[in-house]
Amino acid sequence: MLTIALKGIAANKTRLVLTALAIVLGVSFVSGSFVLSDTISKTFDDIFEDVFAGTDVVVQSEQDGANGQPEPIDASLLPQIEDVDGVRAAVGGASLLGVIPIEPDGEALTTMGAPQFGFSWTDEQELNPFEIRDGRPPLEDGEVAVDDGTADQAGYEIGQTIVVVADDRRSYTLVGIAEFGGTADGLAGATAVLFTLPEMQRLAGLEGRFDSINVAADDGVGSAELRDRIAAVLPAGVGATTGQDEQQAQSSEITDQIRPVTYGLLGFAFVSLFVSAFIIFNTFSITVAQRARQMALLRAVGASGGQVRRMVLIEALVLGVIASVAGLFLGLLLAAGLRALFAAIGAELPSTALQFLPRTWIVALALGIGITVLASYLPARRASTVPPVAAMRADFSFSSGSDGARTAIGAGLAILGIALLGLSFVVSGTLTIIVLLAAGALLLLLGVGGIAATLVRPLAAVIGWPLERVFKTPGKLGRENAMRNPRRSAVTAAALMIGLALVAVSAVGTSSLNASFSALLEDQFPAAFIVSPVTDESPFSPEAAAAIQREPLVGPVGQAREGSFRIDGDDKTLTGVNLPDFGELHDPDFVDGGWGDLVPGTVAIRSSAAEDLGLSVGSEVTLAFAGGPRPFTVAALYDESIFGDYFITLDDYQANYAVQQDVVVFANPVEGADPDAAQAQIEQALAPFPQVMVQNESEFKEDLEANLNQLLSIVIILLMFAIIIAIFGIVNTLALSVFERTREIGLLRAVGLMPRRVRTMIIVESVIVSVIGGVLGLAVGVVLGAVLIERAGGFLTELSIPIGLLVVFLVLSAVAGVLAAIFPARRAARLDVLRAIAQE
Amino acid sequence: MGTTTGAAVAARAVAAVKVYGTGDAEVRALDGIDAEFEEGRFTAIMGPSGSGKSTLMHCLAGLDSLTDGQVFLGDTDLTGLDEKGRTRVRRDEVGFIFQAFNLVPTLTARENITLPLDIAGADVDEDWMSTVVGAVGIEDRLGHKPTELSGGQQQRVAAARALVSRPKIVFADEPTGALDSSSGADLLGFMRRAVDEYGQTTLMVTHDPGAAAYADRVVFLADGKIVDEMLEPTAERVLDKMKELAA
Repeated sequence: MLTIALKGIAANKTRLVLTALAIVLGVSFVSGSFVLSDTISKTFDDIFEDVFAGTDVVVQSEQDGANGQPEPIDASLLPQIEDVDGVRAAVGGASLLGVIPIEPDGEALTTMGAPQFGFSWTDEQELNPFEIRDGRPPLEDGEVAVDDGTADQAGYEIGQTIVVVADDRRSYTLVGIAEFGGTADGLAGATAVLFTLPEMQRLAGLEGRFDSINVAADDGVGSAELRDRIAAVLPAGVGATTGQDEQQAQSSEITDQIRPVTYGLLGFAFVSLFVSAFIIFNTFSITVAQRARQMALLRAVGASGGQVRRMVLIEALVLGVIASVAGLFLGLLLAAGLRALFAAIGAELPSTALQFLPRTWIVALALGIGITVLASYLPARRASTVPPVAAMRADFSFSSGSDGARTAIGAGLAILGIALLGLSFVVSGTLTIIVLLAAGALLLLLGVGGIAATLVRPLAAVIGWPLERVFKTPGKLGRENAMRNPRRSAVTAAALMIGLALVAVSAVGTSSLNASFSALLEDQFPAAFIVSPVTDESPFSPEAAAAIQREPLVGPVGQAREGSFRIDGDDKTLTGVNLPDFGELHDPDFVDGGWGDLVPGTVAIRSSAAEDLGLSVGSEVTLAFAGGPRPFTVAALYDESIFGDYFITLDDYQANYAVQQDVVVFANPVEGADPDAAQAQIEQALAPFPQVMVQNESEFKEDLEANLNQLLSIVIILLMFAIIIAIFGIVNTLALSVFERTREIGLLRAVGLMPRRVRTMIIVESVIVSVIGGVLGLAVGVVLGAVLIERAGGFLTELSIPIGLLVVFLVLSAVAGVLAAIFPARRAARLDVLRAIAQE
Repeated sequence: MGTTTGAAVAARAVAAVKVYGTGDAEVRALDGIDAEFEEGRFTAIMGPSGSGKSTLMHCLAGLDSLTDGQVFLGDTDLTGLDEKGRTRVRRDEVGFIFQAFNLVPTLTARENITLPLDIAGADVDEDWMSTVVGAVGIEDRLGHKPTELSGGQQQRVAAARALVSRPKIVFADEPTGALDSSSGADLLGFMRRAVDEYGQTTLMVTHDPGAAAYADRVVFLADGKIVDEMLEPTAERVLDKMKELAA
C-alpha cells in the first residue's frame, strides 16, 4: 500500500508541488515567527549578559519615576557602599533619554523609533558596558565619545567638534569611539553619547544623584552575599539586586515586549495554515474523485476499505512531511526576510545567528503534518467508501452527499458564530471577550464556507453575467464550469475568503481607528499645534516649551510629563500638566469638577479608575512616589482622555520627580493671530531642538493616517501568505479540473474553439471563483470588523467602512483570479486535440 | 440446472435475486437464479445487454450483494459475510480480469501483477510468477508502466495478476471487449491453457460467441433468468442460440 501511495504522489508532480506549496508557506510562517522572536530574544540576552558580566550588584531605586525609568538615588550612598566589606569597586552612573547627536551637515541624527541615550563614562571597565575602540574616553566635561554605529551613521571622526542636543544645543570634542556590549553592530538602531559623569548629571538634572550604582565584588565574595551586605546599609526605597538578577529582569522585560509581536506573527501563521487546510482538503477530494476507479480496482482485488483509506492518508502524511520539512527551512529564510522588513520600517534588529530551537521544529513539523493529515481525513474516508463494482463502471461518481444537510450545518455554524459574537457584548473579562470574538469569527467563516456551495450558483450567475456579455461563448462556458461542481468552487473560494475577510477586518479596523482618533482629537484637543518628539516615546527638554512660549504670536502652551507612582500598591502612570494653559488645550470630558479645581495637592482621576478605587471628589488618597508617600485630595473626575488615569499639577510633578522632560506640548496662537504665522514662529523657536517637531492639526491627522496606513500595509503583507496560499489553491483546482476535462476541452477545440478562447474560458472560471471568494470574504470581514469595533468601545467611537478600499480589494481578487488561471489556461489551450479526444 | 459432471462446485447461486431501484424505476437484474459452476472448468455466461450476466458475476465474486437468495464460493456463503469478509474472500480466493481500466497507472506491470499479494501482505511465489508471466508472454515488459503497453499487453498483465495469487476462481468480465481479434485470441488461448494445464476454475462474462467457444460450458441469461446452457460450445452454435434468444 505504501508503494502505491508513494507512486501516486510521484506520478503527479504538479499537483504535489502546488499542494505542498500551501503547506510549505504555512509552516515556514510558523517556523519563521519562532526563529525571528527567538533570535531577537537571544540577541538581547547576549547584550545584557555582556553588559552585566562584571557587575555583581546593582543598587537603584525600588520604584520607577519619570517616564517609567528608575527614579534617581542620592549620590551620598556611593561612599557608604564603597565602605561595605567585599566591595572592590562601586560606580555611580547617570543617563538620559532623548540625547540627539547632530550630523556635521547640521541635520539631527534621529532613529526610526529606537531610543537615543546619553550615558556617563566610567573607567572601571568591569562596570562599563562600553569599551573604547578608537581614541580615548571623555576626561573633561567638554569631551564625549559615541558608539561606533552612531559614528558611522553621522560620519564623525575623532578630534572633531560635534553638536549634541540634550537640554539645549552644546558643542563637544569627540575623543573616542566605543563599542557596546561586545557587539560590533551598534545598538539595534539606538544611539549613545558618552559624557563624563558630572556633565551627564548636569544634562539630566541629576546633580548629586545617580540613576544607579553598579558594584563589583572582591575575589571570593559571592554576588548574593554582597547584595545582602549592601542592602543592609541602604535606606528604604533603594534596593540592591545581583547583576545576574538584573540581567534576567531586563532580558525578560524585552522578551515580554517581543511576545505580543510573536503571538501576532503566529496568529497570521495559523491563518495561513488554516487556509492551507482548505487547499489540502480540496485537492485530496478532487484527486480521490478522479481516482475513484483506481480505488475501486484496489477494492476489487482485495484491498479493504481501511487499506484504501490508509493509502490516501499515507499519501497525505508523506506530502505533509516533505512540505513541512521544506517549510521549516524556508522559515529560516523568512525570518531573515522579516528582519529586513522590520529594518525597512525602522525597527532594525541587531544581527545574531538565527536561533533554531527544538521547539521551533517540533511545533512547525507537528502543525504542518498534523494539518495535512487532518485535512485529508474526510477525502480519505470518502475514498474508502468506493464500492468495488465501480471498477467496472465507466461512469462512477461519488454521491455528492446532501447539499441540504451541508447548508444546514453551515448555516448552523454561522448562526452559532454570530451568537458567540453577540454574547461577547454581554460578558465581561478581556480574555473571555477575545475568546468569544475569535471563536465567533472562526465559526462564522466556517459556516459561510459551508453555505458557500449553495451560494456559488447565484453568485456565479451574477458575477458571470457581464463576463458572458463580453466574452460570449467562452464566458458562458467558463461560468458554467464554475457552477458545475459548486462544492469544489465553494471550497476553493472559501480559502480566498478567509484571507480577504481578515484584510477587510483590518481595513475596517484601521479606518475606524483613524475616524475615531480624528473625532477624539477634535473633541478633546482644541489645540492648534502639537509638538511631539521625532522619535516616538522620547521625552524632550522643557526648554522647547519655554522657547515656544517666548514667541509673541503664541498663546497658551500646555506641557505634559509622565511618571510612575503607586496607588493601593499598584504601579500606575500619571500625567503632570501645567495649568491653566494645559486646561485650555485638552478637554478630558470632566464629569465632576474641572481643571480649575486641580491645584497642588490634588489629583484628577478617570471616573472608571476612581470607581474601582472607591474614590469620589473630595476623597483623600495617598500617591506613593520614590521619595515617599504623599497625601492628595481628589479634585475632579473625567471620562475620556488619551492620557492616563491620573492628572496632577506640574508643581507636584516637579516636587516628586528628579527628571523633568515633556512627553508632548500643545499650543494655540494668541487670539486673532494668523495660524500660519504662529506656526512659522514656533518652527523658528524649535530650530535648536531637532528632537521635536511641530504639526498643526491637519498635519497631525495626516501623519496619523499615514501611520495607520503603514500598519494596514504590514498586516496585509502578513495576510499575503494566506492569500497566496489561496491563489495556489485556485491554480490547483483549475489544473485538476482542466486535467479532468481534457476530453471535453479537446472536443471544444475539435468543433472550432480557438486556443485563445479556451484560455478565456478558464480565466473566466477562475475569476468567478476568486470574486466569489472576494465577495464573501469582504462581506464577512466587514461584519466582523464592525463587531470588533463596536465591542472594543473605548475611544473607538466611530465605525468607518472604507468602501473605496474594499472595492479595490474586490478588483484585486479578480486580478488574483486572472493570475491563478495563467498556468492552467495555458495548459488547456495547448492540449493536443487528437490525443485529448482519444483519452479515456 | 444440475451439474453435468461429478466435479466439486466452485461457485453456486441459489434463488439469487438482485433488484436495483424502487417503484417504477425497479429493475430486477437477477430474478431467482440457481446455478452451479464446477471446479477446474471454464464457464462462459452469455446474454443480451441487460440480461443480468454482469450482475450475476459481480454477486458471485463478492463485489456486489444480493437482494435475496444466496451465493456460495466453495463452501463459503457470501450472503452471510459483511463487506470486510467479502473483501477477504476477494483478496484470497478470487482473481479478476476486467474489460479495461484495470491496471493502476502509476505502478509497473510487475507491481500490478503482484498487487493482490501486496495488498494481502503475502509473499510472491517467484516460480509460479515466472510461469504465469511466461505463459502470457510479457517477461520483457515487466518494468513498463501500463501507458507504455498495448491494449493486448495490458490485458495479459491483468490476466497474470488474476492468476498470480492462485485463486480458487477467476472471474473475467468481457476480457476481450476492448481488444482487437488477434489480441483477444491470444488472451483467450491463455485462459484456456490455464484451465487445461493448471486446473484454473474460470468464469467469464461475454457477449462474443467467438470468445464463448473457448469455454467448456456456456450458460445463457435473459431478463435476469437462466434460459439455457450448452456444453462443448462452438462459435456457430452459440451464435445461433443467441439469435434464437433475441428473436
